[in-house]
Amino acid sequence: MQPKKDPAAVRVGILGAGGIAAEHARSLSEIPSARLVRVGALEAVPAMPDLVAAQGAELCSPDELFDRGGLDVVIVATPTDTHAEWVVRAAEAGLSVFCEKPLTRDAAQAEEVAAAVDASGTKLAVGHVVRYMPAYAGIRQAVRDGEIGTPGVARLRRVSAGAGTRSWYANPTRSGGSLLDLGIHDLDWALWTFGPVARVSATIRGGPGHDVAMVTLNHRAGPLSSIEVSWCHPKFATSIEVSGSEGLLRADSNSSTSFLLEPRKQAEGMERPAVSIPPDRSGPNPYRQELEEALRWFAGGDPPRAVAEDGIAAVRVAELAMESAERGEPVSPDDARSELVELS
Amino acid sequence: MTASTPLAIGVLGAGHGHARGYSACLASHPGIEFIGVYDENRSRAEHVAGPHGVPVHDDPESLLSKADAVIVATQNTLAPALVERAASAGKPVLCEKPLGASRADGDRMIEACRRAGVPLAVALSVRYVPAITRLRELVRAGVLGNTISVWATNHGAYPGGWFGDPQLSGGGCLIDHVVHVADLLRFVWGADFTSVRAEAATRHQPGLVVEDAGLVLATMSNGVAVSLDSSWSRHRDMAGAVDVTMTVVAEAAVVTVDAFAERITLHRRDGTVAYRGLAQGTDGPLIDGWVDALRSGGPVPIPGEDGYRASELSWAALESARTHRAVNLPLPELGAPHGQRRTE
Repeated sequence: MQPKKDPAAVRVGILGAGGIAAEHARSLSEIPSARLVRVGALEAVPAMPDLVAAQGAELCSPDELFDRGGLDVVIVATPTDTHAEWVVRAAEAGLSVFCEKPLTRDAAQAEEVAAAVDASGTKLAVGHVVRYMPAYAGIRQAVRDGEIGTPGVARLRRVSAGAGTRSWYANPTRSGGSLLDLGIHDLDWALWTFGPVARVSATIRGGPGHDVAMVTLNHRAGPLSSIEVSWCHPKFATSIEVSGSEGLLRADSNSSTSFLLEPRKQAEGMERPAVSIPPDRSGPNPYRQELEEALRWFAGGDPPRAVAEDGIAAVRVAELAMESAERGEPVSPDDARSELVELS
Repeated sequence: MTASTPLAIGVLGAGHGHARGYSACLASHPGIEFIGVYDENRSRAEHVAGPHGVPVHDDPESLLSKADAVIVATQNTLAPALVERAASAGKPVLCEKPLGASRADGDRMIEACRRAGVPLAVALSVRYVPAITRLRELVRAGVLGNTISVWATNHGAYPGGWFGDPQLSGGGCLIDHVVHVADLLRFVWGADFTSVRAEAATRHQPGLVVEDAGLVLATMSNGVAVSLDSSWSRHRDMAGAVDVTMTVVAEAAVVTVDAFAERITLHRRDGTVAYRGLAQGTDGPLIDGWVDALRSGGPVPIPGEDGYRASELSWAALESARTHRAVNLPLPELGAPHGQRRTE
């Protein structure tokens, strides 16, 4: 079950003990070159204590995670609005960081994070896990290989059930709503594939924890992207389509699945996850892959698919989208910056 | 006119591909005498009239003098003059969508028919898709609660010919493919558009001078946010190249409408795929409803005002794509003598 650990395994701490933190703890248990040392959190999902115990690690407070020392790497998987302070703290402690997406709650925090990482000379990888999902990686590769000629319009859709009114997700000040929490994946994919934007338009509807965001990107290189994210749907689903002069690429989580389990009642061994994690796939686990690549980079290897600058770029575009939704006008990165200058 | 006397109907202007479908309906309708086709291009008129053995008319007056009513299904910029001629001859008109290439075109047609006191109808036939009827019933019954957002598409392939010539079309996919969904939104929700932001690009059809990628974000007077992809992003031979879809997020449900999804899939030996639609065509109900109204003297099913309002979203989207600014709707009046028009 659990692979034998390398004696020189890199020592990892996880900040946060929610659904995605548990996913990372599970991945670490399967990576021989890494060892989970401790998990610093104020509260934990039910699965976490067993995951921690099984790896000979311990649960502690977030402060203790740093104070006890003996770590090489920190995984930040706390609520979004706290990412910046933990990443900065880890960088100042000289630790490499894998930060869950979105990198930060806003662009100003992203700049702080960038400055701290620059100053400390540490490495920062960002959990843009969709870059590791075979359908998304495969469609990007096909676009780059010219299989659809000149790319035209990308349509990206990511919908799930509401965040629940009591969760921090339901507080837009903390989570950034579905646009930042879910939409960051699709914004990142569009930027990763088509490059920077000339203009962003967006609209946001609904209330805290149950909102819908629709975003249009005009990429400098020419393609357009249309994104819909929602916390109003009965269940999680994603789809992607890219048209081009020579063809059309599509993948849809509802039709492109070899295995589907739909529980009709609560049953032993079918725990309902706290956050929506995309359905099981037969291929390599993208959550494990993103960690493996980041850990290899921290150990001196090649960079993973998403590093600090990618995380920052995605947060910036998300912020432009929020600005566009608020003003009801298209926003370009240049406009937004000049306006900030005027205001200060 | 009694029920036993057939209505004499002709096609006045046949430059639009839909002229052939309407002609087939006219030819097979028991209550209609299909009296022939006029087009400035005689061979095109012959092409449309030929299959039904009806005469080709050399000038509009020859057709109009024999007609009880006419269908104008021709190039967007040529339609206004033909609608004006029909109106001054006192003949009711069913006009292909959009209602002209520009607001000036739309104003001309509305004005001419109003002055002559003849009913103007617009061929927004997708209203007759059964799933749209069902959606409208649910919305109007209040079963869904308030609607939050609509993520819609009306995709297709570049139709070729005059559709790529701005002198005849007035624009690309934003002119051709925004109006159907625009009309459905107004038809289903009974609300008007209040603003639009659009992005346009030419990416799919090399050398095309009009846009083949068009993304629209619009807001409606009932607060509903709309995202519409109107792109000609499909290839002509692709199965299901034309779609009309809407994902509706409402308080009580998420409703997905895929107008042409009911079909048989044919996988051929050579690897190609074809769809055979199972739904009844929409041209038949469109013509039936129009003819019934002409006979009874009641209001025509999709009046010029509705066509104008739907087309207005296209005209405003083109302006927004050009200026990179949001455009508010309804568009300001062009000035006298149109001040009293469009009282809804």
